[in-house]
Amino acid sequence: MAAMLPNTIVLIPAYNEEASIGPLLKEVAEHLPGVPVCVINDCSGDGTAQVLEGAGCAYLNLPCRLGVGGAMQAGFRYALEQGYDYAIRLDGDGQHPPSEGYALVERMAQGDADLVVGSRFLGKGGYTSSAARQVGIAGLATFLSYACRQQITDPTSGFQMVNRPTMTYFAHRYPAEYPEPETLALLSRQGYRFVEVPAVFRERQAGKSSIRRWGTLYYMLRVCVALFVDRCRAVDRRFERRRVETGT
Amino acid sequence: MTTPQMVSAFVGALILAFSVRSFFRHKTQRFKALFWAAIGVTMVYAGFRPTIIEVFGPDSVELRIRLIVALLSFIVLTVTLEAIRISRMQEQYAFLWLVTGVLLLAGCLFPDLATALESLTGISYGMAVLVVIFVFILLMLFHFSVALSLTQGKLAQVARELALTEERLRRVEQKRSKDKDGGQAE
Repeated sequence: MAAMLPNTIVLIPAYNEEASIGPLLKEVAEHLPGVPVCVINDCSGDGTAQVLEGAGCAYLNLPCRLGVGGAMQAGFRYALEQGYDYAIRLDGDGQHPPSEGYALVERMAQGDADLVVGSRFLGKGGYTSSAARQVGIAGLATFLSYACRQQITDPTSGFQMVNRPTMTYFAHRYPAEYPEPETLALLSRQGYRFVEVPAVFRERQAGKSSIRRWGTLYYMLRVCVALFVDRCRAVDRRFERRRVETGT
Repeated sequence: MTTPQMVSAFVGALILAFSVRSFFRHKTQRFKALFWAAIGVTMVYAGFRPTIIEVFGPDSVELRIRLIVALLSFIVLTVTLEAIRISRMQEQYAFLWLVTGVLLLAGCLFPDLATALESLTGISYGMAVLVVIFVFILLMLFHFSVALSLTQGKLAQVARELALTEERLRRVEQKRSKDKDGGQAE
């Protein structure tokens, strides 16, 4: 299956995930054999760096904490530099099972999407989130669907696959904190196409979520402000979809 | 001229002379010399015109405010200039401070300006000074948040580049040690 899309890399942003990163890497090797991995260690305070040292995959150690957005941007830069055409993002906490990656790969292989998002709410079931968060996500989804003129069911999903043009844009501009909803809005403005596919998530395997209790409300506020600000900015003509080369 | 006046004028002249001398000889820090020069001038002035002492009296509020503002603008200007001189502060950041200092100085040197402002806006000179300071502090804060955001963006970029370079170095080192091992095995 992995042969269907050659030149693919798995990017894993990790912040304090010493317990879950090892099993996750093993799983990736099992379910996506032959696909190279790059872990971006976002200046973890625990033993993540030591785990990575012995893991035998490529990894980036950020010298200071940049947030998941900043880490992912580093990953996209790496993928671009190394000449990969596609990148799959899996979160370091093991929420996104590597076996589900095929759904994204299959959809991307159809070639009409620049970004494929794995959605928790498109049928298949599995772990979703706490009730409060689901309400927030639903509200955000409604708003984003309107803003992008396209149905979006899971705007906060980080289970994504991008192609090289999207990577090029993301390497240039990627929101630092809580990037997922914002990137969808940005992509739609820049003329990129994205689609959702159903995916089953798991509960995080170990460690703690970076979004705390009241964080849900804060998250919503931050994202709304960011969406508003982005809307006020001009479209970045240099990185419009039709201008970015198709790579390779 | 009474004795205290003469003493004041004499001591003031001495202080002035020494501060000017050290200002040009770079013996002390410049703003220290300027500060002492200002004190000298005041003392000489007080020797000839004791009425300036009345400024400190309770009956002329306006003058006291002007004196305080003059001192304030003097401090702001000298400290800013000094900070630029020893390049602790970049000119772009110092600009707002300089403008603030000059505005305050203009306000206390030309009381007509203050009266014009009063008739225009209806706020008294003392209040106007406060408003000027407040507005400029707000502007400074705004300026700082912009500068901070820019710096943060640059920092993130540098951090990413560093991580990428480090990864490349690690790969090169691994390859080298592998080559070395291979060479030894042969």
